[in-house]
Amino acid sequence: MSERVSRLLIFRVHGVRYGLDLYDVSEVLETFTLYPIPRAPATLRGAVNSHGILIPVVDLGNYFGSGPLAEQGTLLVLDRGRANCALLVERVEAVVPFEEAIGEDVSTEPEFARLLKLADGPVRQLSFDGVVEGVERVLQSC
Amino acid sequence: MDMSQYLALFVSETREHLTAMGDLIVALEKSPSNTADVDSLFRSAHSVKGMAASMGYGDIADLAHALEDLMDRVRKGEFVFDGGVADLLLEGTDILQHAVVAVSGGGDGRCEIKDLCRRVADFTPGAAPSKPAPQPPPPAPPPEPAAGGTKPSGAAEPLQTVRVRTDILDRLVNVTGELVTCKNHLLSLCRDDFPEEVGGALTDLSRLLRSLHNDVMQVRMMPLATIVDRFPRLVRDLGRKQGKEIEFVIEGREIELDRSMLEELSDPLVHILRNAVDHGIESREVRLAAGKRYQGKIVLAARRERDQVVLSIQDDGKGMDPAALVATAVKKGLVAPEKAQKLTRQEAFLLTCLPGFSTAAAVTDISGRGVGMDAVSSSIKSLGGVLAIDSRQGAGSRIVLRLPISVAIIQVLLVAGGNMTIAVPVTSIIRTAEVRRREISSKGAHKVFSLDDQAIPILSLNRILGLPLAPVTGESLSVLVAEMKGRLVGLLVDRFIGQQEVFVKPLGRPLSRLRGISGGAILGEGQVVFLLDIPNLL
Repeated sequence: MSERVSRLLIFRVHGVRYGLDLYDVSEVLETFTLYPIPRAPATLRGAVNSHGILIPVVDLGNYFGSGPLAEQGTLLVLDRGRANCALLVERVEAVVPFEEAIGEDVSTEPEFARLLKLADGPVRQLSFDGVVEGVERVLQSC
Repeated sequence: MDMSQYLALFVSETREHLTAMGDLIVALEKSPSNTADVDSLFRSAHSVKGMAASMGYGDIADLAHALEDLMDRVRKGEFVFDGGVADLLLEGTDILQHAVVAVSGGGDGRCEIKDLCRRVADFTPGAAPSKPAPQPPPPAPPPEPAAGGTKPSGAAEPLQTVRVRTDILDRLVNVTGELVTCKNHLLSLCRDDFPEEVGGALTDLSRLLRSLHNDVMQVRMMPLATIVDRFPRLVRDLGRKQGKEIEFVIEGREIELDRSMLEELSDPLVHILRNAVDHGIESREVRLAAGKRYQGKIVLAARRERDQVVLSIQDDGKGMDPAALVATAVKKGLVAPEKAQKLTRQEAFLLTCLPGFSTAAAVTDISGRGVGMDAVSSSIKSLGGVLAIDSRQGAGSRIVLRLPISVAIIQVLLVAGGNMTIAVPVTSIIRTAEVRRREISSKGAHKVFSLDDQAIPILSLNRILGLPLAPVTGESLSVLVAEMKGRLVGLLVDRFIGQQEVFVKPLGRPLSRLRGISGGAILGEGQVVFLLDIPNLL
């Protein structure tokens, strides 16, 4: 039986590098149509129909307060067992094994799991629950 | 012999017997001379004993045997069924319920029964109870449906009913819903130009799907009795704990709801009943001093109204003072003073549903631990329902819950608003109207139109949803009339698109936190639309 290899999916939002544990992502979509959601704040860009499943899309640019991303970006559909949500990012850059990190710092912000130091620069790894809970807080305040 | 294959059947049948025993015990306490109930109770205890013994659950069998013996003594006329007997039997059924829950989770069925068996064996009528009155019953297990809807899976029709796992029922409704979406897709593909035969086939497909949908939903329907039959026991125990005598009446036990709705309804109903016992019904002394009957009364009534089920819980207790509720809400900063002045009577009662609102002077262990009507209100909203409260000081309170019968496949009216298509469940719409401009007048700050001699305020749906406002060009305006916060309002939309049957998809985490939408759906061409939660939009 093979062991699961832990890998980091690296992507960019307005040029800044972020990462997600590949285990947290169920699908990557590059072509999609966004449908508007009534009453949604800017954090929610809309929803997509992915194989008959309705998935709301979080614009990570708006979520981080750095402005909306272009709609031609890439969607990272999060693990559907834990949430029903996709993240709109600028583009996916790479998938690398976690072992490639040469160091890491603990994050004090709930949205981030840690700051990973890779050979080609730092990557802030998102916390799955931190981001979903953050979006829940935004929606609740609407 | 490996008995594990019979475990599910044992658990299911034992639960049914224990639920029946609970009902019979409470009924016998009111009518001790009902020999048919005495016999039924004896037989249920006997059945539990036999089934547990055959499965090798010694403690369960021994306790059931002790209860059976106690009933046998009642049956032989050794003593009359009284509160002491009821307490012991209820304590016994509670222990058995817990043991069966443990067994269903892989436990060995062992439980502490020696003390109770001794007290049951030593029972003498009229003697002081050796233990306080039993605690409220354990939480009800999730409803277990029997195929065929309301028919119990009893022995009367052994070949006509079959037990079906609930996850299979859920899958059935999902597949049916996807078929509805597929049918809508086909219809959209064949909208303009297609052979006549295709049109006929599509009509047949629609008809068959509707029939399949009705049958699937019927299989999922279960009577309200599934959850309310344990409430007489609950009210009895809560009342006893507070030294209050309460007559509890259930009407409409046979009314059916989708099983998923029933599962979600149980906790809110328990909370409302607890509030009624704890804060509604007064003590015997207070009631007598007020010229009321010493015994309080709570009525849980259910009735069907079109595609809705209306549940009401009414007590004849002390009622609520709307002015006091408003004052409390203002004092706690839950509502601004200027807004508070404009609240209607019904809106004042609904203040009790705000998080953090509680007027109970003391926190009791029955209700009032801080999670109150706000949790009830939130649950009812999540089911697509509406909660209303009415009350009169000195006369009692009435809480009314309006719920859709099913939330899976529903009829919606599609409307255009700003840049989007929005779905409105037809059960939320009282009427649609094309209102001519000259029929609109001003009343205070509102534009109103007249409907059945009633001035209906007009609100812009686009404005409520934060959508761009369309320039008004035509002679008439499209308005849908709905009830919001106890008032009729006319929601102005850009235009009506049409009615459609849709399969409602749950929003899930995190979108379920967004107020004002209750679900989503996929239309024929793959377009995603969201369903408005009209009563909770403002």
